[in-house]
Amino acid sequence: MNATDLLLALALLLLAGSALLARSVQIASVLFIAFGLLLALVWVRLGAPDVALAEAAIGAGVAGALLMLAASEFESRRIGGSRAAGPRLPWPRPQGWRPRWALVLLALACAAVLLLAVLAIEPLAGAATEAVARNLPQSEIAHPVTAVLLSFRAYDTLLEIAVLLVAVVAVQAAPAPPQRALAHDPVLARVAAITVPLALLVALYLLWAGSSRSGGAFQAGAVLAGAVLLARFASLPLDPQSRLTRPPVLALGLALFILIGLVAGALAGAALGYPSGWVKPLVLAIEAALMVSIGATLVALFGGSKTA
Amino acid sequence: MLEALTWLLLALAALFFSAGTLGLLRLPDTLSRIHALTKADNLGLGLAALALLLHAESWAAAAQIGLIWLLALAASATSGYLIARRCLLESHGTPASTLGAPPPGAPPT
Amino acid sequence: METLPPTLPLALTLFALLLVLNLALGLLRVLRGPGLTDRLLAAQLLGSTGVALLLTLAALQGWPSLRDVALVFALLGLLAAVAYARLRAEQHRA
Repeated sequence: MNATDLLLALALLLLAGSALLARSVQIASVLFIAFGLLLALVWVRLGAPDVALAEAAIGAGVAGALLMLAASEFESRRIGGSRAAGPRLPWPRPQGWRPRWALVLLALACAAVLLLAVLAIEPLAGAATEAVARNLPQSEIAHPVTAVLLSFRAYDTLLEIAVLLVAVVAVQAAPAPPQRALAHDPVLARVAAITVPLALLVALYLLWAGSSRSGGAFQAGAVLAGAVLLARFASLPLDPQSRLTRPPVLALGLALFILIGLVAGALAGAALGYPSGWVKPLVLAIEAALMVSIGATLVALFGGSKTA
Repeated sequence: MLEALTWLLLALAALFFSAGTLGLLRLPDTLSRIHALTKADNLGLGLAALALLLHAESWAAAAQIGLIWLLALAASATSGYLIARRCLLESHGTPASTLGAPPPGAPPT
Repeated sequence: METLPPTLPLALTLFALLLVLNLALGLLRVLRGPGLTDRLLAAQLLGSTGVALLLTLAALQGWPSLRDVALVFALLGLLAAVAYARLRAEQHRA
């Protein structure tokens, strides 16, 4: 731990505090993006490039854009534009607002408990890392993170994907804000025409890289979502968003995961196991399907797949 | 020899990066800050990328560094354009549909 | 192109420290503003400085994965700016 780490930690605290106390939701969302960028750097300092990739792509990228969209919708409602008045929204705080001291104390108490818990953790140079290292050759996967996600703890990953599917079903049940057509911006269109395919390539590259180093389905899916969102925001004539956010695409990852888990598992003698020699292609197939589903899920959170 | 060159490139990169950041802090308004950020920082990044490229562990790694720099350049230029345009449109109060129209006050061509 | 020349780690470390200093200064602008646009600009600064820092660390620590993180940083820097510009355009048109 050195001075730069302390600086990063302090910066994170300051950014988080400012985002919570910002005077407008839009400013808060930009602060959140900055927070995500620094958090990704922190993950790098902690020796976790996989998490750094995911944080940069999902936290600062997709979630940042999502917050900006939400903030922009919020601001439109508040200014009163051409929309009917929505429900009263509690931001910014009304005049004469006073902090609720009971809640402040509760929050401080929670923070103290968390701090004590974190300080009590034994450094993880122990059992878990050793176990992974010992069993890695048997899993036939080169990268330990991928091995943990898709072999040793595949069941956890399966459930995570199921949760994502449930979440996106819930989101799609809600009415989406209509997407209004924007003026054509030739510079942006040109840049997007190059950058969107490039981002797709990066997504595929990250998917492939996951088998031997940092990368994998989550990161690739997030970059894929980024590519589609870029196309949407640049108003490219191609409309990948509506094609992508259909139920079959959203469910593809989970379905394939279960299918391979059962079939390959039957051949290997354990559910979610892989027969020897088939591990690499099967894992890649699952990760590819997951990438598409995760990308589609993230895009679906933005709504607006039907044009107004 | 290569070392000296690398030191020089890194020193120049440091200079440009600092210039860009100082510009962001000290210049008076948003438009000039965009200017500082888009130009100085990216030149700094290019010089640093060049320095690192010379010592990359493989041709693939060197190519990747080059690609990252080009992408950062394009991204930075585009975001500079987009943000500056928003600034101008919002401060002059002209509707967004005047894309490509001559700036207000210019003589009609 | 295999082993680094002896003084290179020092040069890279100094450069990295300078970049961290730039990050701190950019942070000042993000926190102070005063407007939304200035903060977004500062976030872009954090992004490009982050790219440089990651490339430097990739060479210094010998982790090629950090270059992939730098690639993603560059991409989402663009996404944030595009989202900002187009959302503002939508908002001011309505």
